[in-house]
Amino acid sequence: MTAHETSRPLDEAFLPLHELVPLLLPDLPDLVDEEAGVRSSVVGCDVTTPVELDVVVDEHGQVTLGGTPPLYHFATSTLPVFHSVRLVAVREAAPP
Amino acid sequence: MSANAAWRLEDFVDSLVVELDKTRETLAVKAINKPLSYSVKEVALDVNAFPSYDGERVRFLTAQPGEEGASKLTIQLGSITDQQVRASTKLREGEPTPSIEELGVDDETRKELRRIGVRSVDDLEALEAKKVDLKAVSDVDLDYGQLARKIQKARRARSAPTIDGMSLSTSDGEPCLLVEGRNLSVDPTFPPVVVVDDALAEVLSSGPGHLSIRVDPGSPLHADSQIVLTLDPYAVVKVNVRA
Repeated sequence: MTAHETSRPLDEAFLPLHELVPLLLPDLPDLVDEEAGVRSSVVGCDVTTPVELDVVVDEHGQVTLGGTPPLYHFATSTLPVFHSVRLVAVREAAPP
Repeated sequence: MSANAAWRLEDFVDSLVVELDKTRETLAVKAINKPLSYSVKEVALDVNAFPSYDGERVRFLTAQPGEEGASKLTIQLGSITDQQVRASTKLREGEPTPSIEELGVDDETRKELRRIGVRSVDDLEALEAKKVDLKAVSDVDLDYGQLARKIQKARRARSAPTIDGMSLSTSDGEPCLLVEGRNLSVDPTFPPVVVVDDALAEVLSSGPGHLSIRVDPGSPLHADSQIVLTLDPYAVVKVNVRA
């Protein structure tokens, strides 16, 4: 088995990206100041964060991506590799 | 983590696109219960990886802890709606054309064609239409004429001739052999050539579904006649007929 023919499940410490990405988006209620008559809401966000990645390649070359925010916050002699993900999301009303 | 495996960039991007699509589906479901939800407009991923080239393909190995000097790949995906895809996609008409794997070219030529982005006969024909000199952009001696013949051969292999039946009939009072089948005479520039028992026979009429061959009364079919049908340069059929 060569380096590109390996297959294994995603590391359990990592989430599939489609589960990780929604978790990176702020889920905040609207800020309401009834006295002032002002309502504020988040209308969009631009998130850039370091991530650790688990890249799994099956025997057909198909790639599965897993990611997690940095797992440990200890200074160690060998640091994990931090990749980076940037998300641009806008908040929009659900269709009626 | 264990077993760090090398990946191809297109497979990585495919996976990222799938994950982004799933993210949109997740957010769409979430929007059913919450009046406001997010729509992801852009995802960019910086990956630290080591590229390697095996003589044919470039693969990347994800950097592992303690490994220095990795390259940084930035993959940026924008958002596009289904409607935009439909509006900007030009549909190809007719049957899909053969891929270069079907052309029967040698490995070196196939690799060289892939290197310059040619993956199908459509790609080749587009280059030829733009009068691109293949010899100038590739290392091997590529010739449109040779490739065109291989393309015709590959296309013929996809619509190979099939004989469903043969029978004796008459045409204008003369005996003839009727060959019926599919994809028989499909090249209008090449009239079929028929040899019956080593003698050239006259083809009275031909088409994709039939061939009508004049039988010489002076040398009728015998107990074990051999008929060779050359339908075009890429389709030669040999049949034994027992009269």
